[in-house]
Amino acid sequence: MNIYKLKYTTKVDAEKDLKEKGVYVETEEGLTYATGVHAVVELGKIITTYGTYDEEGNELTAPIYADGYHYDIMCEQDIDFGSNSIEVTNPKHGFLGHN
Amino acid sequence: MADTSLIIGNGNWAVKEDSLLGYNIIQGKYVPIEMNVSRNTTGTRVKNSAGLIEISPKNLFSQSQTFDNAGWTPYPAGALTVIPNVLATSAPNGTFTADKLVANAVAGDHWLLQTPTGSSINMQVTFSVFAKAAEYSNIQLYNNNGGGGVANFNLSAGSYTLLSGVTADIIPYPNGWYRCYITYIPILTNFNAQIRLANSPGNTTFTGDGTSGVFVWGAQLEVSPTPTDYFPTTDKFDIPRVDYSTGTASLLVEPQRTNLIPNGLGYNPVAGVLYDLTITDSPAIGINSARITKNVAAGGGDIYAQQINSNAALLGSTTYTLSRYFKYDGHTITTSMQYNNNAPWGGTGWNQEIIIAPTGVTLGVYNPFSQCTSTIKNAGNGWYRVNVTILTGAAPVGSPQDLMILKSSLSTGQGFLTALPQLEVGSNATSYIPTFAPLTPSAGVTRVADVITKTGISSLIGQTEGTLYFEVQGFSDGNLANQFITLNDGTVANQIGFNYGTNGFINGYFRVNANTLTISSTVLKTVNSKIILKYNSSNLYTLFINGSLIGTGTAASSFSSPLTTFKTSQGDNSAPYNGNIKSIVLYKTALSNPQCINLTTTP
Repeated sequence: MNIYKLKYTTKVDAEKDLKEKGVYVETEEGLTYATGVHAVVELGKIITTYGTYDEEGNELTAPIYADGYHYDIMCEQDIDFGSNSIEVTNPKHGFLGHN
Repeated sequence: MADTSLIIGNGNWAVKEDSLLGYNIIQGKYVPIEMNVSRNTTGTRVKNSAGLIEISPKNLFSQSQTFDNAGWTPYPAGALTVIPNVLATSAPNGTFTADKLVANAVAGDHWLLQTPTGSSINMQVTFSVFAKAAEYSNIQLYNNNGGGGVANFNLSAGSYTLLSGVTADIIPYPNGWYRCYITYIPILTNFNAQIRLANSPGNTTFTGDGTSGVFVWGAQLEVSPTPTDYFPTTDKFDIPRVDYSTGTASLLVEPQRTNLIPNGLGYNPVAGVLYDLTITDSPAIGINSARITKNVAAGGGDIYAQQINSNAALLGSTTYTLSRYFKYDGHTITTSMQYNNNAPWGGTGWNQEIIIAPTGVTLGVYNPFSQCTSTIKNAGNGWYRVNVTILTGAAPVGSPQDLMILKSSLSTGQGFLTALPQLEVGSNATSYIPTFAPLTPSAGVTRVADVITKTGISSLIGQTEGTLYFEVQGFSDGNLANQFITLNDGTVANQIGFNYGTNGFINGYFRVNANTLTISSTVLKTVNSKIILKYNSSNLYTLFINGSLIGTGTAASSFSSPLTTFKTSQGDNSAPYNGNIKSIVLYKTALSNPQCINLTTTP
């Protein structure tokens, strides 16, 4: 089982690439996972430093975001995502039961 | 009544390693029926009518009784040999599946270890193994999470010595076997659990002889303060979940969901709020709850307990459900689940009042900022799960958090218990997905969808006539339509089953040689329903639900290829079903209408 951590410039770029790479396929019911793809998790804009808020909910400091728009993919097949595949040392997402 | 060809469930669910208990009409008895579950993550389930949640499968070890598998590692390399399936003794279950761990003729340590996968950090776990003396009569169980649980076990005397950890014990079994266990709390990632051979009590460093050792069987690592019934594993993920959240046993089939809350026990420090995270009274086995109390005297303004809900910006124009469990803690109070600031929710300001009283937990009255819809469910043992559904605005920005109000009128020490928070995309709360911060970082966690399949059962399916019986209950998941359970030929060209329409109603669904025939009902999917789909050799199809004949239809032809497969989806895996399945029964004959009405009528 492969778990890929992917970074794209935008969500549109990501969806286009995931279709081209065969992660998503079109069926009678619309867009669905290809055979062997177990999960596509849209993480989006990841926060590296949380914003802070006072007791009334007013923002004191704004959150800081990582670059890009992020996805995690779990699949059986080997897929070459090129430079969109990234190594992560401080993951913000995982799959239940997997370290 | 005609004979059934297959019964799954029928109030007698049982899950084995990769199997459900089914009834084989040819053998005339209940037998394990292998079901392929393509869920490559663990999950959770309500384990029994007591309402407690446990991780499923509970055994965090893979290859739990095949110690010669590569999932286990002799350490140091070459110091220990595993002899599988010895004939010198039977295992505790009477089979010849016990292994022998032999210390090789080298000086030093002789260990067998496994690094378990799973989110078990900061949770109390129990590591157990069945062991029996052979030439040696001592073992040590050890975990390497920074000096955590360690205990020595004497397999002749039936005694143990706990060196560190929470507790240990040795439980006698027939025929010289003992179940040895230690309980501890891992605090590091990638900890491993070790079975260490000893040639005398506590002496794990010695020179073996290549033949002497101990017998072992059935290792289990579980989130629990004590060992529970042993559950064997090979690949530990794809296990069907039998769930009691509806009060009776049913098969739980859920979609992919991510609990976005990065640490279920992580709360923001706030002046005047005290978080006690050591509370073991919880809806889930081995997962603490939080006691949240006011830490200043009555008076002044309201203050708020706070928790970060996601470590990513929320998606715009998307429906989320935030769920928490609450329990009375000695004081009747009104608290809340509410937004921290509407910017992280895209401009949606939402607020759900929650009243916690000795008689139970209820939803509060309308609040002018309540841009949410909420439900509540009694989870048993005094716990209630509150589910708040929120539609975000177009462009959320910022760190989403939720607040739980502690009103100014409360005195020091007054508050409530809360547990198992979960924020997920979707209009319903699904089964709990544990999230814990190891030390750093913290992360959201995904449970992958359950899709359950049984192939190669054409002999159990009537090909020209038959009757299918389902007892099911769908989730309150908005308008997620086109969810199917079908018998099919592996494609969408030939299939029989039911689906949910866009209006949330149950439909009979027949697709014969690529021509679709739908029989619509007005029975909501969220109603526990007994459904029969009947077809005969004249290609007449009939739908019954809950004691009523709903409708009929006639197909132009018979199936162009044999029905071979059961799936909780269409034949091509699309449009998966989400909900509970209480029973499935197949008949190879078309029952009479009165029989169908009788079968679908609840006594």
